[in-house]
Amino acid sequence: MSAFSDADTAQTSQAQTPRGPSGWTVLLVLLLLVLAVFLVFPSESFSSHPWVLALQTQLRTGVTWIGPYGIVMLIGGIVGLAEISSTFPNYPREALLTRWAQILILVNALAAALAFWIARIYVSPENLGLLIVGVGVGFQALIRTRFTLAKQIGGSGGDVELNLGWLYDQFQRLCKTQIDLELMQGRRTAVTRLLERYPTLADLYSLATYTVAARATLTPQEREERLAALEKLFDSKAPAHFTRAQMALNILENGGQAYVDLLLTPPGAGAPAAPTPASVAKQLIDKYSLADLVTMTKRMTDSPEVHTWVEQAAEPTADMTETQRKAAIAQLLVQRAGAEAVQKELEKQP
Amino acid sequence: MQMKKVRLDEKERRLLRTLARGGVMSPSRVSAETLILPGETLKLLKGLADVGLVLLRDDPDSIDGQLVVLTAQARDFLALET
Repeated sequence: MSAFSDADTAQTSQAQTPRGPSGWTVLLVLLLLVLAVFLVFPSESFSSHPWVLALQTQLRTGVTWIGPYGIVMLIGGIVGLAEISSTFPNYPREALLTRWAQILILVNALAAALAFWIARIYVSPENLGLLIVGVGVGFQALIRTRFTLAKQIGGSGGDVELNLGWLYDQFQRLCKTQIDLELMQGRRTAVTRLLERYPTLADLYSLATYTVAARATLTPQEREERLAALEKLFDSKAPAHFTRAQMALNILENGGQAYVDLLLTPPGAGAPAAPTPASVAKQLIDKYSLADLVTMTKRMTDSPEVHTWVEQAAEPTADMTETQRKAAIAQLLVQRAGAEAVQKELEKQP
Repeated sequence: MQMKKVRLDEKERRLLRTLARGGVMSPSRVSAETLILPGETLKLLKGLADVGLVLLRDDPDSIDGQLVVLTAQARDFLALET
């Protein structure tokens, strides 16, 4: 498929970019490594300047003070990240890149840091490691918890509850809605572009089944279920344009945004595309009568079996329209004589 | 999934094998590739659709207004045969 060869072009152009997001990540990691080396090794071993010694001491103090906050914030951020990726399993990467996802992660991290700051005031820092883990994990669980203090016998709903998770639930719901709205805009654009690039149901169905089959992380049961859903979609009595849109959405959901971007990579400039068998057959149907098609097929092929078939296929039958009979003969001619030879023959005719 | 027991003749098997190679096809292309007459091809495909081995649907973009594709059941059937 041309889309796959186009991927190479896309990768090459990406590699030529001087500094993308990965370049900055490498830079950041290097910076952190340099900082770690500077903090770990005694400064006397590489410099005797007093300002270097002072800087190292100050940095060590700073890291000792700020490090626990960093760990607690990291735990909070990871929990937020896991919540988003599990809420949007089909688009985890795209969901994480939205503004509201970043807000949710940041709020989780900052709330954890605040809880740690409060805990540090009231709890003696003798066992700092335990405090970090306790606040990092415990606080995340606490703000999502609903306590039932007293439960009515029979359970008719009059329980006394302390719902600490209510506020977080509201915030989480707001974030989910906003992320979904942000994603919807991108989904609509991707579906429209897929439909422009792959306009036929045949193309979209082939691509959709390939996408499911190519997913490495699906279990056999999941794969079977998704293929069955595709079959159901194909078999629906819905109009073709609706089925095509659903099929495009299915490709996006199974393949993700990056895969769709790859499929939509514009074809590179090169030799003009050769005529496809389907397009040549379509021209034959539009240009020739049934009788002319029979004559042409007999002229361009030399198998007696084919000649007999063509004559019989052209005969009128109760359940076949003339277009259907012409379509079968045109397809046979293209298949036997080759699309290019038939195209040349078509070009000879005025 | 429990597979229904179906008895197929040689022409029907030929149609299934052609669809297994070609993917989504128009009935006229299946007819041209199998050299089974168009009317008979359509009749056989409708019979195969009734037993759940192919899906046949209308499509205005197709050269003859219809598309046909194998079902998972038919793929299992072909896999058992080979």
